[in-house]
Amino acid sequence: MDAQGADADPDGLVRVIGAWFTTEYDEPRAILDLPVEVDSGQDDALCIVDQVVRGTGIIGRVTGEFGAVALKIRGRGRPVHVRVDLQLDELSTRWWNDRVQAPRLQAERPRLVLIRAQGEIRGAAVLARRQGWRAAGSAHATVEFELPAGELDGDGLLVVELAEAPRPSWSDGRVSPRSALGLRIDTIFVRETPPPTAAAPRPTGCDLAVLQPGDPAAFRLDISTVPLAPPVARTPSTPLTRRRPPRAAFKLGRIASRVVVRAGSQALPERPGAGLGVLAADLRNGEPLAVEVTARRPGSLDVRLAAPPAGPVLIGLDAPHPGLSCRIVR
Amino acid sequence: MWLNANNKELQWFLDSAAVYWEKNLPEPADDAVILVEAFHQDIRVTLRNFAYANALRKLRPARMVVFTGVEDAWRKTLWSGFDVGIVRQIAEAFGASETIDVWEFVRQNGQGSPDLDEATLAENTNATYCRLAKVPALPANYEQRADYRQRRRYADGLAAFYEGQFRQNVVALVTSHVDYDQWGLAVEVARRNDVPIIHTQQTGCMKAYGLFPENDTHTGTFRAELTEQIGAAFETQVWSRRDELRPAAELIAWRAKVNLGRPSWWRGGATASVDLNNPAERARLRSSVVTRLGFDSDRPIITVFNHAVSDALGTNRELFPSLAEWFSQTAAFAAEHPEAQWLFLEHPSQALYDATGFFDSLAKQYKKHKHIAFRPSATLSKNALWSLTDLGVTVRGSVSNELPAYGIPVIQAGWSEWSSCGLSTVVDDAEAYFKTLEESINQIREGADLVTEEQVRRARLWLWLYRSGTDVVTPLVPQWEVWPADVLLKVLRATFRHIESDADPLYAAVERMWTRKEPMLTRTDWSA
Repeated sequence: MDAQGADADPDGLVRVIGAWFTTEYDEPRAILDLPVEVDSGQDDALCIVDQVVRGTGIIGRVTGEFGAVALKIRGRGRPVHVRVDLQLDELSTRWWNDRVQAPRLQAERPRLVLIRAQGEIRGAAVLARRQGWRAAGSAHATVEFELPAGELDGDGLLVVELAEAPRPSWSDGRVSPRSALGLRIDTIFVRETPPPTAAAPRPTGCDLAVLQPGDPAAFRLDISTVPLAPPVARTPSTPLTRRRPPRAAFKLGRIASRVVVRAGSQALPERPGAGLGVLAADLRNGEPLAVEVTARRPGSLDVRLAAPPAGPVLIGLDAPHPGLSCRIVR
Repeated sequence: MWLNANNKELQWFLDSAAVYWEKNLPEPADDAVILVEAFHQDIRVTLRNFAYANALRKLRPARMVVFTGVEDAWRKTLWSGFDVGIVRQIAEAFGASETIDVWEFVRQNGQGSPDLDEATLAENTNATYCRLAKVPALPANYEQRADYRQRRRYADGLAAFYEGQFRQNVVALVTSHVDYDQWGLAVEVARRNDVPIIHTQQTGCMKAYGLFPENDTHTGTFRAELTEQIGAAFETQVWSRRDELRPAAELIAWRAKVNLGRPSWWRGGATASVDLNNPAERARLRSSVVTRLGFDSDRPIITVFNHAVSDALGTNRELFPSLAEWFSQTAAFAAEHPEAQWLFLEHPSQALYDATGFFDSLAKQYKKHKHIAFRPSATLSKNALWSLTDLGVTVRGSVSNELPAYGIPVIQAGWSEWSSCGLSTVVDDAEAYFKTLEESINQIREGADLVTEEQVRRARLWLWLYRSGTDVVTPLVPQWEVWPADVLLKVLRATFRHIESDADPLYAAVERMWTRKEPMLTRTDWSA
């Protein structure tokens, strides 16, 4: 029973604890060499999970307000490019509603999460599902960031965390509380050089969007319409509702309300945007940021922040409308 | 008893049990009697009592008398489905000669006038009242309250009933609980009548503690007596053979880490496994987790684990008048000590024990203090908790065993089963408690290691002792996790029908414990 790793770390306070975390039966850690692509919760290099249930075809699913995974990677002391693929699917909303118990008639709201790595904020993501006649499609988001040199050598542990974002008051009622709950972390890529082509900008599916740190201060905001979202389905929880005949009735009721909401969505304007303004907030602290609209076209605005974002920035239309969707084109 | 089992399965079980015990139990030659309680509604609890009692009856032939019944407040707070009829059937199948509905007797015979002293009666009443009302402490005017006076009358009635029962030639009292009126008073009467008390445990396979009159100093509660005896046995029988036991202790430490063997029985699933392996990994995760609490990773973090606030008050030595008093005084101390950061964690089962919102009101009171955070326990994974905690604080919680086993120091403001085994820092009074807290904070800030290698090894050996050394594997008592009821009954039916009974490990273990008057039932013979 030797105190493995007692001298492995760092400076600062309180570093003695952990020397006895291993037992004689712990296996040595698997360490991945760059480039890294992890897409399963069963991967040996996925060594620590914190409020994340490991998946098989995905890394895992977040079970709390925060969720983190750690990968053991042999860094080379140079900067690395990290890409995290997230997904919001039907099960995500079920998990969320099982724990949050949202009001029965409240429409499904978009998710807004921060992505942190090594304890620092690296980006943010907005996910809103595309609503259809019978069901909603999954929402995907990809967050990419550079990890500066030195952050991945030493212990070689990359901690990626989904976290609740501090939000401005103007976003009240427009974002899901406990946004990370139920989200999927599908894949994490770590490379020494970023891939040559960046992904094409996608509409967020809601009236919010995020700028990542380092994005230019001026950008175009395309606005289109999306079908409205019905309330999130509830998992039957009482002995009565769990039985089969009532369940079928509930399901029919859900489909009916979905059809009604979807049909109502047809009345939305084709090219919205006239008269709309834009709000912005720094997601590191929730503080509002100065923002101006420099030009307007049908379905599109040119927007400029006072300075290029230092942290992720939440962009939202000043008149909240669940039937509008934003796309940031840099 | 509440038994959500298929009727047919229950009948098969009863038939096979009746045949098994009829052939395995010798006829008593005298008027000796073993008293066994069946007040709990979970059959797994009562099964353990019956199994122990019958193993003892093989050794010392005696009649078995079963105490059962349910009172309104118990039914309302805990056991809505208690069915005395099923208890009677099972008791009969296990060869009981008599099953007494104790509560029926107490209700009918009104107030008793027991010989038991006033202080003991009041202590039991108070603890029971708090538990059943789900309050952390007695209300201000409790003595005037009708429900309290009723409880007090019940205590008199119960004590008088038990005193009558213990006038028989009693070999032993077998009980699953030792606290609260229906169990606690039986235990106190047994102690005063010099009757050995066997205390079966609700975990593992067959686990039991025993307090024998020869070893009872009558200086503390049942649990306090046991704490010291367990400590002594640990020292002479376990710690002395630490080298030989090391591989087993290491394996169990690993298993506890990955949540095999249910180390923290209340926490299951994906958040119960620990993946951290060294200080560097801990530091990495810590830097992520601290921001969720608004803490700074470079300053000490002290985690205070709340208890189920009305759970068995005064059952062992405690430094504060109540568990809630300990928790709120610690919070008051924390408010004045911003040199550390304090995480107050709520007990995951609190809803069953507190109807007053004690934790939330305390959290509200200290809301403005940035160095104090209040959280429900389940909002942090075990990985997160281990990465944060530089010092754990509890009265008697299992973290005081678990954390030291992995090198995280713990201060205990009271006694627990293992508190005499040298794993944690157990303080003697409230003054010493606050002084120790203060000193520990300073030591952590200086970078000192508060846990010695010996403490870690002792803690791992206690894990072994608790989960293995004192857990007797016998087909007569399937592991606690063999559940639901139909599965358990089926497994037991197979035992009674198809397994030959001679040399069952339970019989040998009970014989060892009984003849040597040992405080614990053990899996193997330590003297060999």
